[in-house]
Amino acid sequence: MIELLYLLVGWIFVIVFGRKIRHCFGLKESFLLNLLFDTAFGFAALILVVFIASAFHLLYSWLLMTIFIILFLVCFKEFKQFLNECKKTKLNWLAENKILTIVIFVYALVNLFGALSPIADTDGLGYHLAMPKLYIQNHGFAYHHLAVSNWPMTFEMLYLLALMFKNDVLAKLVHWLFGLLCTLAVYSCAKRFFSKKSASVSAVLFYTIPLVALESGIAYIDLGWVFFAVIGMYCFLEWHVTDKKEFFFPSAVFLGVSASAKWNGPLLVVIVFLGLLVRMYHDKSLWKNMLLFLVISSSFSFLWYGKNLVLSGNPVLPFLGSVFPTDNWSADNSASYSEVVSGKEVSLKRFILMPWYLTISTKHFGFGELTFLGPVLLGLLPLVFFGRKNPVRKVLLIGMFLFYTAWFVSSQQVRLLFLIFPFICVLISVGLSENHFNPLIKKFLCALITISIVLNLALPLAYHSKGIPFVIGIESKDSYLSRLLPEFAVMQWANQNLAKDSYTYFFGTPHSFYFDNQYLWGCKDMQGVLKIEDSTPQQFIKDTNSLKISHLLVNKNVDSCPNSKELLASKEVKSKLKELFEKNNVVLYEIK
Amino acid sequence: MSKNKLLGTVVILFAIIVFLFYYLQYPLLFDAFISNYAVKYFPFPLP
Repeated sequence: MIELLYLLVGWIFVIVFGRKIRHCFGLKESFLLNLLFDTAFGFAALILVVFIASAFHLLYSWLLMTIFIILFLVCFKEFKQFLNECKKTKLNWLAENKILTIVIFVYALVNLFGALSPIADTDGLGYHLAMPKLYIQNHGFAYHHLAVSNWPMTFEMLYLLALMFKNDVLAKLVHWLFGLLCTLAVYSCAKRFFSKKSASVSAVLFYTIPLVALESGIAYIDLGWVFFAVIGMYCFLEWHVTDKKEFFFPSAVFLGVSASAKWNGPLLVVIVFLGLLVRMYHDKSLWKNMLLFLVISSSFSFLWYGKNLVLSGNPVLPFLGSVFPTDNWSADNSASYSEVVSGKEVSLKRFILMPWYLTISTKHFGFGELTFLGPVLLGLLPLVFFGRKNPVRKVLLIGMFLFYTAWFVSSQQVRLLFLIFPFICVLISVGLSENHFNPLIKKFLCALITISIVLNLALPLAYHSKGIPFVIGIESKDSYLSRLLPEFAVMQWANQNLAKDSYTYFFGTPHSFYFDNQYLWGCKDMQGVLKIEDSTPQQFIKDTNSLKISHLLVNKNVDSCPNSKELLASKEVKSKLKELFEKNNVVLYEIK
Repeated sequence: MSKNKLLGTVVILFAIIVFLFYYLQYPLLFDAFISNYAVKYFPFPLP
């Protein structure tokens, strides 16, 4: 619970720091918008500070704390201004529609139970927090054979700070905060470009999407990605509609941060840039600003490509292994990786039916917990096309269509489509409020939305409630993690008993965050040094010896890479293994 | 039929189809979700 206080103090620092930067751009809006801009600028600057500290191996808590105290003193005037504004501000937007505010509050509370419990989700344990932990141990960026270590880690820089100054729960709370910030950004967008009436509804529609609610309680990065995209689009649309120059470059900064969060992040910047090209066709004097936009918005992504180039030799690892082949990552590895993430089937029929598959047939996506979108986005989708003429609607519709098309062709993972959901919510609520439907029809649509809001809550309630005993203090962290992660007890044993220079390969688990010594996991789509799929027992033993892998951790509860079972069951490998510890069907072996 | 009435009818029909299909398979979907992500981790005995 103390982590909530850390979050509040950290957020105030971010706001104050961001406020200083906002003043440089000359942006001045309402209290809520200023709060969102300040938060975005503050987080962007913080990410840069941590990136630079990591690049120069200066990740020491005392050093970063000193820098932050100095920055706070420099921004003390802004701090006082902020406090004064807080005192004067009446939070009218919270009271605009009390029922909808209560809905968001209830969802936020349920999600908070997830956020306040120790991290137990796969991607968070595998890299979102595991890599920041590695960087902290090394006091800076470090090379790891895992492909995930080379993905852009923009928001992981914030998680790094959370881990450095507190723990994993604080990192999860940062993501939970991003969920609420996204909701406020959606509200602001709808209010500014459409109507006050549609603002609260669009915010509620967004925050009650099961995917958003589930993600709010775990340490992923999608909500940060979406927040920067929405706030960046807000600035871009404001510039597009009013020609106010002070919004142009902030939009480049925010969209640039959003673009650097994921490999497919730059898609949105490319689409916005295409829009700028169209506008330049009518206004030739724009070319200078366009170039600057391109430089600013791509610079955040290039930081990560540069870091990858220095550490691994391939700026876009795990892609283009054939163009930038290295000893640890070949063209074959890149091909395997691309096969995993690329769109499964690209056809016109699937292109048209995909929204249906995404909503109704989630089994197409493996019943994963992060595939649940609820029925509203699709059920009320026709509403996005109707309403009063508005240039923003046109821009959003074209932008969403282009993003959907690019997503469909490049990768069909549900989460990677996240960026268009906030805008669909805005346009649905606008369609609902601007069309003069028969009151009966309107009531019926509102009833459908209410049913969905109530039933959607069942998913985060079921998902996050597993953390309640820990959060209310009747269960210990170890007990909670042992209940959720079968490999946790074995990892704890390994942390206490294995030599610090030991090197362990994990079969059947990527959950490396709770493992303190050197480790490796994954098949050829995730690491290119230890061959599993097409290896013989002799080759496997030879490879483990040459890599100095001293232990194997085998999670027998789940399948591992193809050929794993055969390798582990072979006489040659068996004779080399000595069982050290076993619990929950997870075994730790020493390689003799 | 006025334009608004026609639009309202189209929207309602589409929404009904989607909601119907969604909630007809909701027990299956929720059951898969619960058994994969909730029940086995739920700390208290369930009825």
